[in-house]
Amino acid sequence: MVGFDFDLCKRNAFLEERGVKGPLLTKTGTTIAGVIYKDGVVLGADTRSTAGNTVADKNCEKIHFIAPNIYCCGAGTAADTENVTGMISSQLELHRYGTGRQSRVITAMTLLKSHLFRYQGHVSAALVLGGVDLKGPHLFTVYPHGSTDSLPYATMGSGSLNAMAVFESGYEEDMSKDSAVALVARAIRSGIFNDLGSGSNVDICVITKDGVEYKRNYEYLQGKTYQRKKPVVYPRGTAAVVKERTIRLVDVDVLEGDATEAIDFRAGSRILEGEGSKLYEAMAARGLAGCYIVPIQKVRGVKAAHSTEFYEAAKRMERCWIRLLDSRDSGFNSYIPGGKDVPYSSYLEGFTGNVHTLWNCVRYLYSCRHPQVE
Amino acid sequence: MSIFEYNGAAIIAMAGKNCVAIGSDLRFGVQFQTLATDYQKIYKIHDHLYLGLAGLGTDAQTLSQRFVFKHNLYKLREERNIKPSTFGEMVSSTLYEKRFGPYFCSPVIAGLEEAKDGTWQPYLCGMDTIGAIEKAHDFMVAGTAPDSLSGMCESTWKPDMEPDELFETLSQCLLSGVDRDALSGWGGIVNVITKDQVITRTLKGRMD
Repeated sequence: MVGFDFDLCKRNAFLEERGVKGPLLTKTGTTIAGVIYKDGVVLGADTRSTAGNTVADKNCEKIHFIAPNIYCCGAGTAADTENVTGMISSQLELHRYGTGRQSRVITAMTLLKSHLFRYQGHVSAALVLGGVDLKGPHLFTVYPHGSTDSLPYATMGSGSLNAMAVFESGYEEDMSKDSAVALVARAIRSGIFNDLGSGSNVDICVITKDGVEYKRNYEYLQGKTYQRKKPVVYPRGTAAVVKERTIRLVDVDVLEGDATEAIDFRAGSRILEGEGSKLYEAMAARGLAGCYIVPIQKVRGVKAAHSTEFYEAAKRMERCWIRLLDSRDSGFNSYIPGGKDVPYSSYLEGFTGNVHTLWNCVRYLYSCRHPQVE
Repeated sequence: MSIFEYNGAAIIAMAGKNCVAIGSDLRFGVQFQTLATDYQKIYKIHDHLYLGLAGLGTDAQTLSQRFVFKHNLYKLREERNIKPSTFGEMVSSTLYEKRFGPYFCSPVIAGLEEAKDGTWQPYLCGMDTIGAIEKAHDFMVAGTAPDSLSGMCESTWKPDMEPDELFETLSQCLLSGVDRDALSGWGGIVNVITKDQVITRTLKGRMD
């Protein structure tokens, strides 16, 4: 169960008092519908979501998963339908895990209505819940205030009247699957074309005791009615660029551990232990070309000449392995050939080939230790 | 006045072929008073994941800090960067927590995610202030000029653009879009994200 956080309510209410309007929420204007037929339940939904008069999403999903045998269409505030169905879905998952039994539709319905009733209609989700359990097919509507109906055919959302008109004229008991799907699709279509809050495509979900057929975009109606002969192409350089900065991300593998681990990581086998340049020769021979910034205890054993060799070798190499220094290490500067006092940037000056790579490594290491510096 | 029009912002994110781009305008103002013209509304979460926050500036900063904090904790626990889709869900639940007293921000998330076949695919999504996720395969806009921005995008976006073309398209959408909005503009900044590199370009725009 979510616990809402009311920290900002006072501030927001104050702003509203001063005449500042709150934000627009994404709604699903929506036509959703469902029928019970001979072998199960058919659910249907349009795929438009709106923010005010603007279409926010042309192809959103309104048929939500609740359990393997239960699905739920949602209308109202998009965030509420998404979250309320998600919450109940996870509660049922745990319930199945605890009991080892299939979830019942009425359980889902009760959980939904008690959540919605608790929030007195402020969680604005209007739902059509359908599924098949051991008692057979079930179809419910759930209103935002927590009331529910059990019905053979049901509609919800701003297009509910359009859809219901189709159901009232076309519904029959014990329909075949094909005619049930056709009827639901027709009901949704009447919402799409006659209700402005609904639009785009038809999603259909058929639930039987043997399984679920989720037909996403069962009818695809949103294709553009026009097509440019030639697409707009803005040639390179159309936009005036004042400044450009490229950060290369390639070839940087950050690995914790020591050199042998780095080799293991790449080659899947332990190869060697050794110092400075030898290590890199071996790595290069195996196509593991790289520069490895060696743990401090290893560096201590390596003479300056070795270190230089090591960096020389690194210059020719493609990849870069880094060991993330731990806080006890005396610092990055220890690795610089020539001594501790040379700033880390100056040793990079010698590099041409993969200076970006190394720079990225250094930048990364440096930013780990000094988060305030980029 | 709507609280969304207090500071002003324009954000666009667009998907290309194995790349994604996200850009914003640079104005920071209080109603009609412009206070700064180098104010980015895009926050880097990690190398392949960027977050744009439109809406009330103070909330955008608070939120960006909370997300960086949450991502840091995620990295400590998981020892890896967060996937853009996972991050999207995290942003959504952070916002929905405040369902009845929301942050006045609508986020746009743009990132690259490694697919099962090893390619890097764009991930794009946007949200309202209480975390209703809207996934997009093409483009996503937010800010004080959503209609003119989405109008530009709707007519110029096409599938499978290469990074350079994606940049030009997004830039034109941004620059033309903000021309009809008094509260955003003053140049723009666009990040083009590919597997190997991120190119950040600052755009010259109208200064009125």
